[in-house]
Amino acid sequence: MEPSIPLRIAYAFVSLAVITVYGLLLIGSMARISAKVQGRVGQPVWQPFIDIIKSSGKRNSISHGIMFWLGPVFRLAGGVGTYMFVPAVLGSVVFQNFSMSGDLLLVMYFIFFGQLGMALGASEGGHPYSAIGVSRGLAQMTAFEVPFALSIISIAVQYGTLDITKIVMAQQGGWQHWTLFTNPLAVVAAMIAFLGMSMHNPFSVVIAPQEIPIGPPTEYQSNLLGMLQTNRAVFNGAKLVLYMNLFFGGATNVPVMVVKTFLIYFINIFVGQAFPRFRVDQSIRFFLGVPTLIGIAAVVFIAF
Amino acid sequence: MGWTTALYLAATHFLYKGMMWLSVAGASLRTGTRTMYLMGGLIKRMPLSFVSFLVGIIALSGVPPLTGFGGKWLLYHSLIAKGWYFEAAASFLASGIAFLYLYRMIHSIFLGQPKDEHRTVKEAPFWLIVPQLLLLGAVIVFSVFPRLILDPIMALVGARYPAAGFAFEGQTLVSSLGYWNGLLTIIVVVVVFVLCLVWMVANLRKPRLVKQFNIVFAAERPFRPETTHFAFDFFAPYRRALGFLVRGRSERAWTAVAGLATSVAGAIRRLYSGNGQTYALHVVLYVGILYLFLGVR
Repeated sequence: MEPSIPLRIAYAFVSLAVITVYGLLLIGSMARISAKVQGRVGQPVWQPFIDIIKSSGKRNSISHGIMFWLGPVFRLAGGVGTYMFVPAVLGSVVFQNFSMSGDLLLVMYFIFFGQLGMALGASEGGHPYSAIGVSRGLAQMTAFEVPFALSIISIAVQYGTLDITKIVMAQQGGWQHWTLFTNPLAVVAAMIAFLGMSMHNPFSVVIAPQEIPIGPPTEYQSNLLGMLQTNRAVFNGAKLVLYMNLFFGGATNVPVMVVKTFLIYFINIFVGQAFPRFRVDQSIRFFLGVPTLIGIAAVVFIAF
Repeated sequence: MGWTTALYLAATHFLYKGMMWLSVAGASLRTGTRTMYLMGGLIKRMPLSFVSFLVGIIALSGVPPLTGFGGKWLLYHSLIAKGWYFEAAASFLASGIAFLYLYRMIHSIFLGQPKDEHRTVKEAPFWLIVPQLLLLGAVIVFSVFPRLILDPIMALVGARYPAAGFAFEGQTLVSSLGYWNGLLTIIVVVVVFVLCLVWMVANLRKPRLVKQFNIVFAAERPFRPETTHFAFDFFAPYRRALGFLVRGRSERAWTAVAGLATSVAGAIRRLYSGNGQTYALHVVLYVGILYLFLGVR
């Protein structure tokens, strides 16, 4: 039964609230796990909540103009919008979101929306580090999109559709129907792209989290930073749900979604704690090398 | 499918490319230069040109709510349905690269640090702004109602090729692979954007509009826009990673030819040195050689 429009909007808010809280807890727990690996105690799991509340409670002291303000708005709208276009839980009315607006291509391109707006906003700040961070980020993004695109094309050919719901439906009925097992090459290519997408080590030089504040958030403070932190949770959640839907059989209820997305995200930490960083030019060469070949192999394997 | 895609792409590209050309023409007219890294920070002086350029790059890069996404959607659906998978991947890479150059353009021209000599630049002339705003309006209308532009195209193509592959169900464009509802997309995006904007504005607490160089800069205080506007050699990582592909082979060949010509000319110049004594030596040597030959005979 199709829900009425007000009910659907209310459901979207519920769904968004769930993914935000879950995304923040996910970031917190992953930070804690990394700390344990490095022999530290680490922050409490709820630290991201504290950060956001603290950031939002502070006074803004600086502004560089209108586009500067719109940057985080674009970013958060990009994250939330991406989530809105992905059906999070199969068969659930509450978590269906607005996935009827478009298929996988819409989601893939909407991922750019926030990055574009954020890049523009950070540019208006006039800080050279912002522009350097953006140029590195965009350069790396174009590189990891290649194996990702190949993998998407491979599964589009495999399932004969770009409709996310249909792709999830096709993977129901046991783990042996997951894309992970029916098309492993595509999954490998996409997972390597995912490492770049989530910008953990070895691809973290774009945001350089440990040392100088490079990258777009350089000039943002207080509630603007709070919005960026919120977006990180929502956007991560949206990407994880997308990956789960495409490659790991989707989810038919919220606990399954939580477990699966946690494990997918854990791959980042697993790799990130084991490898040092690439420079951006190295990561471009890396992504256009073996992962792209794996992606091509995935397409060839499925299509011919 | 191919014809529909091509006609749609041509029509929409006309709209937003025209808009961007006009906008850049205005910037170039007012600053008197066409070199991008000599501009910067023009958003404060030319806000209308900036807005049309902004909408232009959102549309051109194919980010969903605007009309460019329709083109991308049609393109990938046609390519995948046709079985041209690697072409689809290549066009995906191309649209990513489009992102790079568009960002570089808008950053170098309109954002970043304004230069001293451009502090009094005026907005582009009225007759450059008007067509931009008209095109802007057209882009927005076609983004909200993609049927306005797609219905005539599909009627035209459908008359020739009846099994065109794309069809509308209400506002939803459907192909054999998927679906796209332009109206719903833009509604969702606008609502989400406005909600985020409201949250941002509600949380603003009297921020101070700061001066140009008031940035957090590792204990240094930058004071020249030329040293602070990052615009030259913008995608250095890319050049380092893949630059060997664009270093031209023909350029290298012609450099070798030029080097050869220079060294030959240098050798000849030793004879024609422009020095009277050298020429006198030539004459003496000529007479000497002539004498030797004549003497032998």
